[in-house]
Amino acid sequence: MKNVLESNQDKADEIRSLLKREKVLMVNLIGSPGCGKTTLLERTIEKLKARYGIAVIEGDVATDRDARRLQGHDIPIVLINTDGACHLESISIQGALAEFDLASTDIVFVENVGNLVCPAEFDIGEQAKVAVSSTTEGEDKPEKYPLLFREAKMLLLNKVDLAEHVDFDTEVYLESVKKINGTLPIIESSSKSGAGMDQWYAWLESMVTELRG
Amino acid sequence: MHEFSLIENILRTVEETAQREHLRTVTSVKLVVGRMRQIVPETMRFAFEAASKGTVAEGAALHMEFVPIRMRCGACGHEFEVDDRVFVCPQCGDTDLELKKGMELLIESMEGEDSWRSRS
Repeated sequence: MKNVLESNQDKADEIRSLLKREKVLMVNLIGSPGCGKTTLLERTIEKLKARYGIAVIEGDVATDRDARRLQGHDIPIVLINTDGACHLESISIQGALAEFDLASTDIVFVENVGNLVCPAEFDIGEQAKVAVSSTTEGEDKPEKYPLLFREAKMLLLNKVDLAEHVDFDTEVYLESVKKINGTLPIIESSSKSGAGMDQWYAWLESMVTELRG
Repeated sequence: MHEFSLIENILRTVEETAQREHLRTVTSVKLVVGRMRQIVPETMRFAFEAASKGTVAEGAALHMEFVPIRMRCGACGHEFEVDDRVFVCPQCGDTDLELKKGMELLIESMEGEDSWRSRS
């Protein structure tokens, strides 16, 4: 028997021990195209960059548009164009991390390719996968993509300010998450209205503190 | 669509194995696939057919054996299979569960024909 994803897994394990040694938190943001990952990142960088060394690995199927949006924030960014591939793999993450000065970095955000399936399947050595799921996508996403909601350590239900405009039933959604992963913490957030953002920053902070031991 | 990226990884392993075992052609590949991966067999076959063109595995049959999702309850220790996508312990109702089975993606076996050239 041969584990097909073994080489990806080996690299991911190497990355995880590197991050542990360097005391760097790597967060893997996973969500659909348009769920608000890049805007969330922009707000987060603005808020936290005075206190933490932040770097970003931007995964994109094509173009550097997201990376350009982040460039104004004056932090190290590595863009990985996957040329059509639907997710990032650990080998490209390893290459990207080598370009950062990890000694002065506290948090690496990986913005994975917009997709709910493959990024959940491929370990890239992160300490936490964060699922970003927005109200405009409807209530059925947890049931349709259980793997992501099981693998995630945190769920952001994003664009809560739009819920009433798109007939999103928050109760139904939360019930459905509970069926898939009853231990998953959920923050109802909006990068636009600022809802839940303090909770999100506090969670990141607690993750960094935990890592530093 | 994730079937395509998985098939890419599978083919890489198949080709490496074929080379190591001096196989001229691969005639069948048997996979063990966990249900948690949400693989659609038809898409998997289609991806395999498309991606294996021009490789040692072109035309090979792809067999898949599916492994049910099996969880262990962290609260009461009960082990159970999940088939209706409800990840809740049927015994005690707790949701602190550990995945025991269902994430497999293994090549169980492959068959092929030897290369006569390696037999000198």
